[in-house]
Amino acid sequence: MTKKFIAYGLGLCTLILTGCQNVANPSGNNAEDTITIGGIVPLTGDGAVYGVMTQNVANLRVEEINESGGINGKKLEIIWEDGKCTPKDASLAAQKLVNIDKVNIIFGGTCSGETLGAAPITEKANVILFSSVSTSPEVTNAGDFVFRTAPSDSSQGKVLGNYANKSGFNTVALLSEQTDYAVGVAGAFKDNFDGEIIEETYLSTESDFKTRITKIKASDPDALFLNPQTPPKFEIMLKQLQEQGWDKPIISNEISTGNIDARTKYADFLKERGLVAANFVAPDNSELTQFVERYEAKFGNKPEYINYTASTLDGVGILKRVLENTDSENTEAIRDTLYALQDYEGVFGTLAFDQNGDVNITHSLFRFNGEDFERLEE
Amino acid sequence: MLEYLLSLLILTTIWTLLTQSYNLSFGLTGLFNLGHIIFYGIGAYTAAILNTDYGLQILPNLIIAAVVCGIVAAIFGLLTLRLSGHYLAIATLGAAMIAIVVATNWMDLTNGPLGIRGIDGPILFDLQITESWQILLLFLVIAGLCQWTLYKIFHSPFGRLQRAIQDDEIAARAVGKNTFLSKTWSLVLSSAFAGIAGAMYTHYRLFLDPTIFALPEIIFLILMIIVGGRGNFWGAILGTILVVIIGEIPRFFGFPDSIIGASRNILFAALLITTMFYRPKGLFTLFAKKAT
Repeated sequence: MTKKFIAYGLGLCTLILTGCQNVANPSGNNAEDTITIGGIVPLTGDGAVYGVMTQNVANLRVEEINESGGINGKKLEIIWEDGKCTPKDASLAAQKLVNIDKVNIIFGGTCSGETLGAAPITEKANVILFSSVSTSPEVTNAGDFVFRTAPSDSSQGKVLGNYANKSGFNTVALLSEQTDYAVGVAGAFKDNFDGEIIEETYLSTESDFKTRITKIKASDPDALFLNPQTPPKFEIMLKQLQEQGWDKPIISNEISTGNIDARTKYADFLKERGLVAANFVAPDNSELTQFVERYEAKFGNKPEYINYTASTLDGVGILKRVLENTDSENTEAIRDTLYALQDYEGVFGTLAFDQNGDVNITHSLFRFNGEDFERLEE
Repeated sequence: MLEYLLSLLILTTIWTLLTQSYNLSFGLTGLFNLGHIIFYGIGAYTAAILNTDYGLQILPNLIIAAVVCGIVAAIFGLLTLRLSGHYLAIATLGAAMIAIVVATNWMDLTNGPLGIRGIDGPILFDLQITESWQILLLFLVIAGLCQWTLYKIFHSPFGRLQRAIQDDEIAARAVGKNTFLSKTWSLVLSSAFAGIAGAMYTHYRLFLDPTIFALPEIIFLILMIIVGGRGNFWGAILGTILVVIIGEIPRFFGFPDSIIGASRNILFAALLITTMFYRPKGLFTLFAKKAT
């Protein structure tokens, strides 16, 4: 029995070892007339607000590209996977796209956690990870093959920190979600704000902030910084703040700037508390306005976040241009072309990547006037 | 489809080892330990931290994970094994809760809810294994060796002593056996193998966060062992396979994910109740007679 077992075991070991190979460059299996890339976005859960929108924007743009002749005659196709706004699911999705679908480019993730979860896997396989929404400062150093067309939150933390300093806040309470995105924003804010910070954190699975709000109220800060990962959490915070009679100024990350229900529902409350948020906004241009109209005609509603719509349009546009001039199988050449890109004329103006694959866009400040956000002079 | 089947087989291999390890302490010795999943988690975290911070690969990680889990289990056992029955269950459940809180809040060690990423897949002697079938073969070899060791333990004098402790601890003590020490050893060995299963999981999933400590999983472990028969070596393996297969049935009816989860629980409950009514010693009792 024992001998037989050892013999089988050794046989299996030999099979494994002979079957192994060094995997520096997975080979692509693209059909002759299609360029297939992967996509990771949250399609379910609280983050689906961004995910479904980003998917719609990218799909619509790709459809338009394919209708007008594709990329050098080839059609572009995206295989979408649900990253569920968590690094765990995004890493699973990346493994599937890299090992099974053998894609050379992955468009995504949306939530910063998705991009950071997928990056170690794409990086090892020399696959391009191209996010149009992830803003965490950590993404800057996530890898050589990681690019993004959304700005780093180091600039979001900076404008909000400076605003808090200028407004004369001595203490700011920070109600922050424990996700890569929110931790990144909180870190950048802490680096730039000179006063004292009272931080309360919560897990994405939690939705009761009452004890935390009571605690924050007891410490009597000058302002409150709401730092959620997703709109549903923002709405719950507003409800519970209103119930507990919060009466100090509120600042927030860009999550509050989408055309989301919460803002209409709590418009008066937010206006009275002088909500100020950071956001990155494209200059007025006809390309974006026309695209939003086509989006509305196709999906029946405006895209929830105009900033991510714009950065996703630029993302797909940049990929199209790079793929037109580079072999879609050679990821190192694509990477080098992306780094060398200096003059892409997109929705956000002239775009270029720095040595970390970050784009030259920054955040600005906006104040909520009861209906919409107005830009603040800095 | 093939890939899905392979990933299911890999996870089943890991789960089978985890169930068998639990079968040693819960099934054979009769320790009503609800904290077994902590050792799976500790093994997983040990491997993840050793890999990302110290660059160690799967084989040393499996061994170190087993040793770390064994040591933690020894301390855990010394503190809790004077208790028995419900008291032990409550104490071990409490320990599992503590493990979750520690993993979520000790940011420096575990990176909290953000999780540990960038874990290497299995690398054997500088060869990276990426294809699912290769990972499956490797895991079958590792799990096979562990199962074989467990088989030897189950059928050794030590194993028979564990069975005696479950049947009547006082009688075992009356014939001069140090039952406290035996129970501690049972827990240590059982936890060490759970740690190996955890380390395998880490090197397969490549990402780890505190959800690994999911407490409801303990219910599935208990289910697999009850279905297979407590303390029945082959029962634990067949029980795991049966539960996995039943769990996958709703998927083939094309239900949405939300319904799959719920319908799975209904099927599991039905399976458990049926087993308890008609085959309280497990569905695989015939097999057991041959084996023991």
